[in-house]
Amino acid sequence: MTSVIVCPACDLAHRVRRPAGAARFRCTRCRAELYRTHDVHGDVVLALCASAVVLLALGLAYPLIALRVEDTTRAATLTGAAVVLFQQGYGALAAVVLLTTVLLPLAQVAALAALLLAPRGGPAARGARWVAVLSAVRPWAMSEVFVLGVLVAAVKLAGVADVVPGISVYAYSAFMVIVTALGVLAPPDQLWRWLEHGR
Amino acid sequence: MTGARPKTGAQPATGRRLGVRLCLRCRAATRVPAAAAAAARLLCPRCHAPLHERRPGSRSVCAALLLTAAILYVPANLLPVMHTRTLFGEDDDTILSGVIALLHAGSWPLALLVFFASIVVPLLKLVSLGWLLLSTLGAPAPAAPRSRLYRMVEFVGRWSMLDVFAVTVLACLVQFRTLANVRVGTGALAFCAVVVLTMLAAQTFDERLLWDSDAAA
Repeated sequence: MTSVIVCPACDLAHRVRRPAGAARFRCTRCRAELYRTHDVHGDVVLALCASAVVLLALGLAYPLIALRVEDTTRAATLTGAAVVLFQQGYGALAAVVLLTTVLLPLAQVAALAALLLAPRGGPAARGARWVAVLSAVRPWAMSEVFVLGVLVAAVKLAGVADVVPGISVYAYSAFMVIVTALGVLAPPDQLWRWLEHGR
Repeated sequence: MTGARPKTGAQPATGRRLGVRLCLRCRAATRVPAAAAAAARLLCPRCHAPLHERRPGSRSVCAALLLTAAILYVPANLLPVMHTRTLFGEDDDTILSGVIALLHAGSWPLALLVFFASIVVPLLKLVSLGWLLLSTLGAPAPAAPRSRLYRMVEFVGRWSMLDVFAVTVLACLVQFRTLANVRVGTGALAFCAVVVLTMLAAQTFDERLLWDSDAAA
């Protein structure tokens, strides 16, 4: 089956014979990715979604890092950080931090799971909702930036006090790795393939 | 795959010339007959998203977001992002003094990283997006290098949030009543706004505008 693919980055039209299996095309003019699908089974992706949720739950339940000064210890949790911002009068900042580190990465995972679990054969517009959510949310899910931010904070404090890493640092870092992997496993064309042919 | 790239001198077979529109949501290509092209509202037959030849209002919305970000860039760098109070006195940290403090803490790779993420990247984004925007209005110029610059700006943008996150964790962690205390400063709010606004500006900008004014076309 040949079809026309138009480059989203430079508008050049390509006539492409769409393969049944996994494939990847780049634009011949601007090298942008035109089409990408893979053969990883949808169930594997669903399993990754489930583990991401468990890891995020652990990341929220335990402290990220703790600081020991003399005999007092103070621990920072993911949600605690947003609460402190709110208490100090920066509600907008608290909202951005909570959205980019917890809510939007979670929305990304949930939308992908919903798409994979959606019944097949329904109108495509219904599944398109999840494709739209995924592409809108992806740039704003910043787990990997947050992990590095925690590292910067730890280095700044290491000279003055004892910094103790908590369970959440490991759990959230693993969550970050899985969310990044899910991003690679969910290119738009693959999402449509799942919607049209099932996982 | 047969690329539709023509021989030099010929017009490239773009969606615009062929009357084919790309849905930005689901990437389906739809042939739009010349008679229907003027219709106010065309919907993608696959996912029902509005179909436009180019993102509507791309230039003006992007310019407005950039201008707002450029104005906020000043307080973001001048106002303190963090107030530290210890037994020995009070201290205000701006973005730049935070980098210097990291350098004194003996961690130059991290200092370099924060310097790039917090100082170089936001400035680079403001200047290059502004320049790219202007370049779509002027005489045709080679599109490939401009396109590379745009993709780089879009890719690195999110990393500027690094400092906001670091300050957030510090403020949550360092709460030892009279002994030591960290409060978030107004600069962090302005800085966060600059990051969000420049990310929105990069997303609003339609990369195809660069190729519409390609010198080779």
